[in-house]
Amino acid sequence: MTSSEKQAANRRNAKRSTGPRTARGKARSKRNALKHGLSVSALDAFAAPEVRDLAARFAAEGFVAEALPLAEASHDLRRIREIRDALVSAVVAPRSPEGRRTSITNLGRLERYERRARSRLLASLRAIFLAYY
Amino acid sequence: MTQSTNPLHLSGREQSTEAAATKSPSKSVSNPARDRKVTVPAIIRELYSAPTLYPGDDPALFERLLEELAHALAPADLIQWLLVADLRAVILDERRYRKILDMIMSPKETNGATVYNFQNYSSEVEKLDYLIERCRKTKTGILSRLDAMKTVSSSLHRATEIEDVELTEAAE
Repeated sequence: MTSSEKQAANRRNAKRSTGPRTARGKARSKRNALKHGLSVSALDAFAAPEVRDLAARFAAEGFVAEALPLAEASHDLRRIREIRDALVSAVVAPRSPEGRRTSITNLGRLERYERRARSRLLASLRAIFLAYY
Repeated sequence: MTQSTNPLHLSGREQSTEAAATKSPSKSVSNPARDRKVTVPAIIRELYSAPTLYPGDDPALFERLLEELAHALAPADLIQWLLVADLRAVILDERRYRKILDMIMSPKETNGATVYNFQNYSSEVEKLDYLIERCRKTKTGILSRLDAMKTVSSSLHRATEIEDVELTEAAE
């Protein structure tokens, strides 16, 4: 059983554990709960600068109004393809049969996010098409 | 609606490919079989970079498939290029899922006995079947979207041409 001195020491130590203090530590810990980030907007997540750059490229091509949603959906689809590449690698050369099963299950889960992202991409393309014709 | 203000600028593949070649650095791919060049917009190349290769994958397939699709579907603007590039990605995904399925289903010789992997992966086989089916549906969806866009844009172009001819005749 823990002694009262030990309990007091634990409480004192716990009071000092108030999370990361440096900017780097805070930047790292704020992504602790992030699993894949596919269910949130890429603009709210860590990829915002990348998406804004891509939107600027689309805007330069003339798609000003729909540049941001188009960039967001394109960026999400690219990330999904990257994740799928990693999952397929884990299926082709699995560390264990269980690992292969998990990777195939995750491929199935990824498909849901892909469907949503593609739906957004097609909606943006349709909006651009209707805007110009 | 005028051609000069429309960024889509649908006036044939040749024109769009020339415009893309002068506007941004793009890579030309030659097709010896047809001896025609397809210029893929640079932004498409950036968005759809080559996937990881696995044993048995053809490294040239990624480029060749886009080239073949571009020849067959003749994307005339960036919207259509995005659809064609997405179609290629879905085709390649379906091929991958089929390969994985084949890998799981193929029997293996262990100590003189034939072992069928799929007995251990029955639920995964179902999932892969579903993914293949989704790919097929997505392909159909993209193709019908592309077809609809082409039909509408060509009708509108024809209407614009008729209008131009009528206006010219009226002015004369």
